[in-house]
Amino acid sequence: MRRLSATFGLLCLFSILSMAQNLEVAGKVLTETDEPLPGATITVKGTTLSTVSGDGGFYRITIPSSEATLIYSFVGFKTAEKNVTASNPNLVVKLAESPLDYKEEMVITGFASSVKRQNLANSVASMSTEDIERVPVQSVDEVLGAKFAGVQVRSNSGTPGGGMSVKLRGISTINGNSQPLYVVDGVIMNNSAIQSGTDLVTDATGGGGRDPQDNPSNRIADIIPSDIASIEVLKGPSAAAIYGAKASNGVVIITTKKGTSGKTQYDLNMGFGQRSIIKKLGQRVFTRETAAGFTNGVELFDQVADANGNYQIQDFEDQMYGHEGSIYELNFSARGGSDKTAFFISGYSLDDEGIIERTGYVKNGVRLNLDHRFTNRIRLSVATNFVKSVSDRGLVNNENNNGTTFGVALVQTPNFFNLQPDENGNYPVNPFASSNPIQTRDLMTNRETVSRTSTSMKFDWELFATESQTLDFNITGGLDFFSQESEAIFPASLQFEQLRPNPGTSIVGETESENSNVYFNLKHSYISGSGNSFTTSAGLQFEEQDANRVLIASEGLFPGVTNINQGAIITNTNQIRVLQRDEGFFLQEEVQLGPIYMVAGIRGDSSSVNGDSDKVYTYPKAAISSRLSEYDFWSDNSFINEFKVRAAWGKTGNLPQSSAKYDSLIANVIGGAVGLLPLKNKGNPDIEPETSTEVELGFDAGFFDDKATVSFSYFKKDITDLILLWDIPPSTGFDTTFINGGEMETDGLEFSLGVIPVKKAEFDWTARFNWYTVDSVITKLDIAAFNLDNGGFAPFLGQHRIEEGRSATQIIGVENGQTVQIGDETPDFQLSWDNNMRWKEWTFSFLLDWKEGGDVINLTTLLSDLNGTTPDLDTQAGQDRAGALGTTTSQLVEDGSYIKLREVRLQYSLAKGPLNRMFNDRLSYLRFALTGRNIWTDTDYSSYDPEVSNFSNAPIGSVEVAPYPTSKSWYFQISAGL
Amino acid sequence: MKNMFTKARFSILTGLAVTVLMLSSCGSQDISDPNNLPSDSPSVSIQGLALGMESGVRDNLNTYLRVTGSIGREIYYFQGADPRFTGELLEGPIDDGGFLLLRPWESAYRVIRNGNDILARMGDLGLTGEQASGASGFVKTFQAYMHLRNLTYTWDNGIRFEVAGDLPGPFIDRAAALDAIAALLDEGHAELSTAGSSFAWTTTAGLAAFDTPASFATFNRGLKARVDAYRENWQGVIDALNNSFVDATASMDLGAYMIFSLAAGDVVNPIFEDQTGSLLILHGHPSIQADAEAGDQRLARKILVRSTTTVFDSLSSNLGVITAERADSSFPIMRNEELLLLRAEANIHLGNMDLAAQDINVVRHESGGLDPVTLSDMNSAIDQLLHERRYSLYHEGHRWVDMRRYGKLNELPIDRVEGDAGSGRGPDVVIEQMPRPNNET
Repeated sequence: MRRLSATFGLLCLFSILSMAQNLEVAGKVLTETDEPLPGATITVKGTTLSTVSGDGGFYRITIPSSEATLIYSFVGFKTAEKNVTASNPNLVVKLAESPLDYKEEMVITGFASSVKRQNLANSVASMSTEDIERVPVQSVDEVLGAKFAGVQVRSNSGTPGGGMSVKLRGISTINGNSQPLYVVDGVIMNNSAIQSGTDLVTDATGGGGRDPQDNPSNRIADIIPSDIASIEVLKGPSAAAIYGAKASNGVVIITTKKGTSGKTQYDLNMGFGQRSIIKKLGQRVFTRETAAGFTNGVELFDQVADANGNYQIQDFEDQMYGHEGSIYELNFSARGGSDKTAFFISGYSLDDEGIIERTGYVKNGVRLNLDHRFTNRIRLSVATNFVKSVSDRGLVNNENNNGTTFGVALVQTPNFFNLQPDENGNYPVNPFASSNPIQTRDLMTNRETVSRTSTSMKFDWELFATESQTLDFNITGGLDFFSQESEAIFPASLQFEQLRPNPGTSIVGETESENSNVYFNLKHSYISGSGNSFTTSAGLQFEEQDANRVLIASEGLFPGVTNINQGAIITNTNQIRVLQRDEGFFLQEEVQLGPIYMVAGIRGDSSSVNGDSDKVYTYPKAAISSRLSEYDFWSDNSFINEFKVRAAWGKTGNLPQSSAKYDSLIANVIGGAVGLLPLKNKGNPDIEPETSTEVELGFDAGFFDDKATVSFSYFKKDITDLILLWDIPPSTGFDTTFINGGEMETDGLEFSLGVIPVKKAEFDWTARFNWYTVDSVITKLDIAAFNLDNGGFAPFLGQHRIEEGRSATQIIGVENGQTVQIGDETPDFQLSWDNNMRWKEWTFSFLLDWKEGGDVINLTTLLSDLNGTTPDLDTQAGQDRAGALGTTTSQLVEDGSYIKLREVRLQYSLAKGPLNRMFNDRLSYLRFALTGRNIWTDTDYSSYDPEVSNFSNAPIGSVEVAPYPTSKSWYFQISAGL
Repeated sequence: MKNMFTKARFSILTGLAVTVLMLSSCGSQDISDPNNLPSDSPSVSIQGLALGMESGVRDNLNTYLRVTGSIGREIYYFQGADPRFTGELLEGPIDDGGFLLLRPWESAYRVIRNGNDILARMGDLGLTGEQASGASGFVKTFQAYMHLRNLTYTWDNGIRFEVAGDLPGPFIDRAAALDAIAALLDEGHAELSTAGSSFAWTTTAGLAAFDTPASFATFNRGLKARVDAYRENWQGVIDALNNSFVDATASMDLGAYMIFSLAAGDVVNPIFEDQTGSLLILHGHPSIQADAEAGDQRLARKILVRSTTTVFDSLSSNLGVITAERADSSFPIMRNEELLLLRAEANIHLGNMDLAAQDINVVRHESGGLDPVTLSDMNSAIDQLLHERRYSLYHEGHRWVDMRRYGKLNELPIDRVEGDAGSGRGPDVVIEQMPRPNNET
């Protein structure tokens, strides 16, 4: 300790000495229209010295010489350079707007480093607050949808509260974790989806699927979108390599808002909205003859039909999905602080009803982010967040109990039967299914209640700083804890409960999950007199995940009570623990030589889930970019004002499931005693992470002074040691084992175009196009081709099959006895078109999302065919389709192409003059906006929505089984700043 | 300056303290299974493993019964949420990767694996020589039972028999499989005879009549008789039955059972459904009522005629299956009634028609409350026997197997033929046997 203080003393001495010949520069950064511009970066050219403009655009910087060149930059503005001398130390600088110019944006590239976008050697997608808050979302992953090339976001169902699947650059895994790594303020966020246990009632696993299909939300939904300052998406291994063994599916880095010194600023945003179903499928009109296909059909038909066979059609879709859910959102934040301490406080409240009555999502959260400078060199940032959410999810998706879920029960029931309760509140017994879904909806509960607190702490210590060098030490630590309570309560009066031995079921699940991590980083920067810079960073990482889930089911509950101890019998208990510990290190060198930027690095990782828990797996990376437009040979008056070529290479990993390596015996209860049987999954003590190696090549160009920008990337990922859940020959006594047994190649093209068609004082228009394709092929398979678990139910029902030499997302089916490929989930391309127009105080923006191709397995229609309720069954086409079951599969696999109007926003912002007059200069802004999400869809897909997954976040597979239909929503928003 | 220095040191100290705290929470990365008992744990006992055998036998019995019952036209399984029970099973073809085939197949081999694990670790279980013999005989008997269950599924497509190693042995054909199963039963029987007076563990109530090595050996011989009937070794059937628990004076229901309960972690009887409920999934095939003799109490005991006719997928039935009275009712592995009929069957083939008629009439009287019959020629005697087996062993997994071994699958009723009005389904066929699972190739 003594030596440390001695060193520190020496450092202080240095800085005192160097203060001798200082020049104090002060000034203001403004826009062309004289609005102050806080947050602009002011750098002393050729040094590591920089500062940021604060409240009112004011800045102050100390220069260790008598004159210097200052560089003023801000994202979306043209960079300016100004000379400063002792005679004129006050500089007011105006920056010109340039909406497509992102060259100055700092992009986080690792634990301790960031780089200007102009030099970035990868295509990294990033989003600011404005983009995030444009149209309200329930879950933060939804905002990423259709905004970037290579980022595909699919909602698994329309259930309020999320359940989203995010794919970055296609698929990188077959049976491994498929979701990106989410890092919020340096803390790894647990994004698991926890099943609620409704499978005990629906028996969805009884018909082939190994995993429950309880339609859970994934926990990234707990992040409050309005707290986010920026999102960066590291799409592939070449960008994400520094995150090592958890980064194969890409990394989403989220930074929350921070306080700023100066006057406290308040923001208030209120929204009211409504949600309704996007599409109804319609109702079959029955006749006395067709009614005969149902149990007691003719008798029941005759009770309601007149002599001509006309009857009052029960519109079940309207009765079940016709609810117009109201949405209410409020958030409030305050930010401010002194020179030393800055704070950001926010509160958030959302109440979002679903299109099925008694379903919905309520989320409340508070956040406090604090930054404190102990000295000029030592700084601490703490971000704390508490969120509580309640999600009522209904009972949807697949089942195997003759119609317990809403959708399955509805397709089983012909619409001449009335399911509504009588005047005494008695629900008719549905003779066609095991449940009356209206009764189930009205009386059951399936609720997830999550309490989550995440805290991160960043401690930055500038150990050493001269004009040309800095040495920074950083500790980032975080804790992400949540408890999720799931309650699935099915009162005894429910029709399907009456069929159970002990009617009245209560299933209570309790999960506690704790993710903690601590990182130590050291960064050295050196900048030479000629402006070349060298940045070396290194660090250590320690991560732990500790989760415990307990599920108890009690049956025979008295009506009106729900506690599990009130039942006649405990029918199911289950406990699952997850304990995982990982250690890593990294080393990275970045070099900036004029217009050339180079980076090389390596990450090493070991994990308790690997067969050999001590083995260190290494993930190297290297990349180079060159701004050709900065060279002398590039004509200054070329219409191409900016041109950068880039190449990047890197590796990442994806860890095996934590249970993959264990060979264990499982307890089986029989006759009140415990028997032991081998686990169905055979442990593999040699299991290793799968590895994804990516090459990315591309260029970024600006035309006509950045009136148009183009970005193009080609990438190719080779995934080796592919983790496969092998259907081991069952005669071994095991069903499955995880193996490293194959290779896959995923490649694609990404093309982005930004244009400013009009830019006038009163009207401007910015448009962005993002087009991409991706393809995955299984290049090597050490085992026989196999049907993907959670990729369908059987070949004749449409099934994803993993086969060497074939697309990884192919769908097979049975056509007249032959098993053949009949589809592919991967679209031909995706294209989004994002527009932003401003006319005086009005802004209008809309986002169109086009997916071309990509097939979906539609089993909703299959089930309604099987039960004789499909609207078109009286047509030849309907008859043919229903009759083809078992002979052909192609009728079940449909083209999932769509064009959707994802987002639309019309905003009126009160002009400064009237605003100040009306509110006596109290308000800094006042805006009114009308926004909509998913309000228009064009698709040939015949069921509810081609964006669907019965199996939640399975990496491959769009399978629809009577889901919660998706909805469109409208909002009216008022926001004001104080 | 001094002030800043002190503050800096304070925050450094804080930082270090936090760091040390967090580091100390990072434990070892070598973590053993946090959820289950590792296979090599010293606490693994013969009690647990032997009960595991009995428990595993029940796994996917539900699917096995729905498949054999549907194909054998004993039942319908009207599952509105799945087309396969009334589609694939009645129309074919069978999906060689589907759960109807795979799940029962997998479960049987899991029990066999458990048995092989017991045999392999016998020396580490702390057993005496006699106790080890008893355990071995018990294990082999249940392994044989599971092999036989899979063979009834795939029949001419055979089974894998040598599955003790990491990689399974080859498929063997039906004849070889039956021989191998018979030999395994004989091995087990020999070991049971040198196993002393008691097992080293407590069996479940399902084996109450067979809870000593000697009594368990009579169950082993019952299974041997069934195997011998399947391989048409009729004298073998008689010899095995002579050492079995067959008893014309005992209850028809004397036998070995799988037990069920509603307790947490346990499984419930796969047949039981509340017959007063609004809707049944499991229904009796209409032919079981149509073909019954008047007054056959077996029908009355096993089938409930309901006022509602359920219509599904162009099929209909008003029959409920009531072979299980409660959710925790037991399900027979082998009953005295079957043994009597096996003895009758062997005697028919051996030409002892009177002996055969004696046993058949015991069953008719005791189980059906029916008058005796006389047997004349071989063909009509076999038909009579198959009729008795159909009603005595209704929905216990025998009908399809019986009709198949006598080449009479074409006599099973076909419900939907092509051109049925409004169905769009069919024509129905009778599946002869299940294919080899595609993950066994």
